Amino acid sequence: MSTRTKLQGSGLAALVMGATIALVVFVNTISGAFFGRLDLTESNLNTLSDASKAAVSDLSELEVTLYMSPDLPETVRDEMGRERVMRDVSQKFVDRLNEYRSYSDGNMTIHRVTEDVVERARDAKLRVFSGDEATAKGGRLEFKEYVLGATFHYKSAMEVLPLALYPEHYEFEITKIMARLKDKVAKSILMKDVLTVGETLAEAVATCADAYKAAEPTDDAPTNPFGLLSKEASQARLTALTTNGEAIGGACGPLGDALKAAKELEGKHPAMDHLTRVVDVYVQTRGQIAQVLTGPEEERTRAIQGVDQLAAISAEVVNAHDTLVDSPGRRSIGFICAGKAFCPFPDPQPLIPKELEGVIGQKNPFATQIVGQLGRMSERMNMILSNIERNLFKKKGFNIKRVDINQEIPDDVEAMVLFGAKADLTDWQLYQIDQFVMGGGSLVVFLNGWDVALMNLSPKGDARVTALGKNSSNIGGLLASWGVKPTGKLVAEPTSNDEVTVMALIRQGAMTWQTQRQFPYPILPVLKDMDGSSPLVRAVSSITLPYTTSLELSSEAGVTVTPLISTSADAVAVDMTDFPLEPTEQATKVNALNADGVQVVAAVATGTFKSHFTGKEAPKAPEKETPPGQEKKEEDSSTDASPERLEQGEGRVLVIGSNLGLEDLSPGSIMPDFDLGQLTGGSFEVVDQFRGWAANLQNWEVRLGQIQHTLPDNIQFLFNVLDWSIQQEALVEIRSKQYQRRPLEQLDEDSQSLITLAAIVGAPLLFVLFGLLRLGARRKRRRGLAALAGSRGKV
Amino acid sequence: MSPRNISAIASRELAFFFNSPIAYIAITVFLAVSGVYLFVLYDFFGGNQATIRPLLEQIPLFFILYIPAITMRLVSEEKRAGTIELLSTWPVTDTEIVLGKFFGAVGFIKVTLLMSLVFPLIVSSLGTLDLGMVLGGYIGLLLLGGAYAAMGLLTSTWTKNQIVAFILAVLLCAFFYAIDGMVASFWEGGRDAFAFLSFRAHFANIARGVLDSRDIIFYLSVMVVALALSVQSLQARNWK
Repeated sequence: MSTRTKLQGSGLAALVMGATIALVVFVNTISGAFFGRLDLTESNLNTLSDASKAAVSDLSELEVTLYMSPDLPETVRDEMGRERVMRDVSQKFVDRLNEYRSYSDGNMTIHRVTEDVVERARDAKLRVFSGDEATAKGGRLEFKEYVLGATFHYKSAMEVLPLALYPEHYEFEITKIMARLKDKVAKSILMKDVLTVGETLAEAVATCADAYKAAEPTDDAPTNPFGLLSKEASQARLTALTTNGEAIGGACGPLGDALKAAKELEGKHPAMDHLTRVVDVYVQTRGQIAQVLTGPEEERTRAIQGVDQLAAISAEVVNAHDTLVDSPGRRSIGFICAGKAFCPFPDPQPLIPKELEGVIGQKNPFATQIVGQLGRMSERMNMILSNIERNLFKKKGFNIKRVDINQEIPDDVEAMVLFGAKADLTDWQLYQIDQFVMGGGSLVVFLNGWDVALMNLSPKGDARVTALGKNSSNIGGLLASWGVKPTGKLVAEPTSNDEVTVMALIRQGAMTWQTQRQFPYPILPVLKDMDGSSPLVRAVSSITLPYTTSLELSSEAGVTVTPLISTSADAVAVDMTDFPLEPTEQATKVNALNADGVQVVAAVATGTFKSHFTGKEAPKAPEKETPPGQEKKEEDSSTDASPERLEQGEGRVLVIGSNLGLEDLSPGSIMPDFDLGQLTGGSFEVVDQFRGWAANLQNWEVRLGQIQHTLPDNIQFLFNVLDWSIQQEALVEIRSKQYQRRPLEQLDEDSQSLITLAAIVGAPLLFVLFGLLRLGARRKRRRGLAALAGSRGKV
Repeated sequence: MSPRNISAIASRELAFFFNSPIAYIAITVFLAVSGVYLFVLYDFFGGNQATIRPLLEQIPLFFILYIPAITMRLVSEEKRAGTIELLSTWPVTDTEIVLGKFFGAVGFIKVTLLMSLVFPLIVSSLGTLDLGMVLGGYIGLLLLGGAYAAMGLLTSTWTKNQIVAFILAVLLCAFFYAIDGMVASFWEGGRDAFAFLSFRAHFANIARGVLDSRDIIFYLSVMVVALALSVQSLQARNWK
C-alpha cells in the first residue's frame, strides 16, 4: 500500500476523530447548562426539600465564605472517637452549597478563602480540627490543623457553620442557618436602638483597651523562672502607664457616656443588661487603678494587676457584645424545672457551701467523710446534666434555658417543656403555664405516670428491689381542660414490645457471675401507629415509649386534638400497683388480660384554648426571695407591671405519655431528705441517709441502662418535638429525611456467620455448579454430534 | 451499519465467554471478592444498616481489573491468530465489528451485575433496603462498566499481545478513575477542574441514587470517543 493511501487514511481518521471529539465536547458543554436530575432514593434523600429552596430564595443578598483546607486528611475521629472517612466530604459540601445557589435566583454568592485558611477560619470562629498527621516541634508533637466550614452573611447578620464534617447533615444545618439569618435581620430592626447602644459601648471599651495596650513597654519584659514579672519589668510597665495616662484618659473618655446611655436601657434586653454589667465592672476597675496610682508608692504596683484584669474584662465585653448581636430572633426553649421534672441543667447552687464544710467536720467527724462523698456525688450529677445540656441540646443548635416558673417567663422563650413531672406544681406555676399557652406559646409535656423500679438497689445499697409505684402530678388537670386527659393507666403491648436490659446472676456449678441479659418487656411498647400527616412522626417507622400512660382525648370548643401515636388493638392499659415487673411474669400477666383496644399515647392540641383558670381567681405569685445580706424591698403597687390576664389564646400543646426514660436528677429527687442542719448538728442518722442517696443516684443510672437501646430513636423524636415547639416544622421535615435508619433484623452470631458464608461461598459455588453442568451438557452434546458425524461418515 | 451484524458479533462474543470456563471463573471470583468485601472487610453486621452502598462504591475499583481481563482478548486475540483478516472477508464493516465486540463485553458485564444481585437480595431479606439507591447504583455500574469496556476494547485494538492490552487498559481505567485525586496530589486547585474527567466523581453522584443527565452524557461520551478511536485503530491495518 502506498504512502499516499496511508496519508489519506490517517488524515481521514484524524478528521473523523476531530469531529467526534468536537461533537462530544459540544454535547457535554450544552448538557452542563441544561441538565436534569432524578433522585431515585425512596425519600428523595439527595434533593433539596421545598423548605430549603424557600429558605434560600427568601434571602436577597446572601454571601457565603467557604473555609476549606486544601489537604484534608483521609480520616478524622469524630466526637465519639469513631473514624470518619473524609474522602469527597469537601466536594459534597461544595456540591450542597452549589445546589442552594442554583435555587437562589442569582442572589447567593460563594467565595472561597484560599490563603491562611486555618488562621482566617479561626478568626471567623470556625472549629479547627486535627488529623493524625503530626510533626515534632520543640520536643512535642504538633498535629496538623484543618478546617471545613463556612460563614453566611446576610445584610448585617452573620451565622457560622463551624464544622461541616457530616454530609448527611448539610441540608439541615444550612437551611437552619438561612432561616436564622432571616429571623435575625427581621428582629434586629426591632432592636435597632439596643443594638446601636451596645455597639457604641463595645467600641468604647475596645478603644480604651487599645490605649492600655499601646501604653505597654515595647521591649520584652524580663520575667523570673515562675513566669512572673520581675520588679524592673513591673516598674517599667508602671512608668509607661503613668506616662501615657493622658492618652489613656482621652481614649477612654467616651466610655462614661456610652455606659450612661446603656444604663438607660436597663431591663429592655437580658443580653444588653449583661453587657452593661460587664462594662460597669470595667469602668469600676479603671477607677480602682486610678485610685491606686495616686496612692502610696508601695501600693502602686497593684495597678499592673488591675491593667491585666482590664484586659480579661475587655475580652468578656467582646463575648457579651457577640451574644447581644446574636440574640435577635433567637428562639429559646424553656425547661420547666419544677414538680420533680427532668431538668437538663447542672445545679447552680453548691450542695454544701464551702464556708460550712470545715464547720461540719468540727462538730461531727463522720460527717467530714460524708461531706467529701456528697461533694463527689453532686459533681457527678452536675457532670451528667451538663453533658446532656451540652451534647444533647446545645451542640444540636437548640437554645435551651432553665425556666424558673415562679418568676416571669423571659420574652425570648417561645416554647416550654415539662419533662416527666412526678410531683404537683403550685397553683401559681400552673397559672404561669396556662398564661404562656394563652399568649401563643408552645407547651410540650412528657408525662411520668409510673415509677418502675426493676432490680434497683435497695437504700442499703445491696439487695435488689423490684417495685411499681404511681407518680402523681396535677399537670394532668391542666391538660384535661384542653382536651388531653392522662388516664394514669400503664400501657403494655403483649407482642409489639422492646426488650429490657437486666443484670442477671448466672450460676454454673460453684461459679456465679453477673451478666446483662435482655428480656421482652410489654411495658416497653413498640408503637407503629403514627399520624402520617404530622412532620413530627412522618418519617418514624416505630418508636418505643417506656412506661407510657394512655391519654383520653376530648373535643373542646375551638381546639383540634389529634392523636399522634397510638398502640395496637392488642394493648392493655393497667391501673394496679401489684402489676408484675419481672419480665416473664409480666408477659404471662399481659397475655392473660383482655385487650383494651387502641390506646392513644401522644397527642397534639392546637387552636384557641380557653384558660384553665377562667372563672377562678388568679393564684397569688410567690414572694420573691431576697438574696442573703440584702434588705427586702417594699413592693411599689403603683409600678406593678404584671401582664394582663388572658382568658383565651392560640397556643399549641403536645402531650407524650412517657418521659422517654429520663428521670429527674436534681438533688431534690436524689437526696429528697437532705438537710444541711442535720449535717452541721452532728446527727449520725445522716450516714444511713447517705447510703440511700448513693443508691438513688446509682438507680438513676441503672434505670437508664435498662432502656438505653431505645434512646437513639427517641432522641431523634425529641429533636423533632423541640423543632416543632419553636415552629420550625420545615427543619423537622429535613431531619426526618436525613435520619432514615434501616436497621438489620437482629440475628445471633451463628446466623450472621451462616449468611456471611452463604454470600461468600454459597453464591459463587452455585454459579460454578451451574457453569460445570452447562459446560458438561455442552461437551456431551458435542461428543454426541461428533459420534453422529463419525457414524454417518462410516456409512 | 447493520444491527443484525452487530447483534451476531455480540452474540458470538458472549457465547465464547460462556462456552468456556472463562466466564464462570471470572464471575465466581468477582462474587467471592464482593462478598468478602461486604460481609468481612466492611463488617456489614457491625454497621447494622440495610445498605449495599459500600459495595457499590467499591465495585468500580474491582472493575478496573475485572473488565480489562474480559476485553483484553476481544481484538488482540483475533489479531494474533490472524482471524481479524478472516472477519474482514465477511460482509461486515469495522464499525460493526467494534460495536459487536463492545456489546458482547457489555452483555458479559450485565450478566456479572445480574449475578451480583444476590447481595441486595440477601440484604433486603435482613432489613428494608432503599431500592431506588440500589437501582441508581446498578445503572451507574453499567455505565461505568461500559466506559471501561470501551477503553479495554480500544487497548485491545492497539496490540496483538493480550497481556499488554490488559495492562494498558488497567492503566487507562485507573487513570480516568482517579484523575482528580492524582492531579490534586500535586496541585490542589486542579481537583475541581479535573473532577469533570474523573469516573469516580461522576459515579459518586449515581451511587447515592441521583441520576444526573450530565453524568450519563459523560459516560456515553467516553464510550463514543473510545469506540470511535477503536474503529480508527482497526481501520489503520488497511493503510499499510
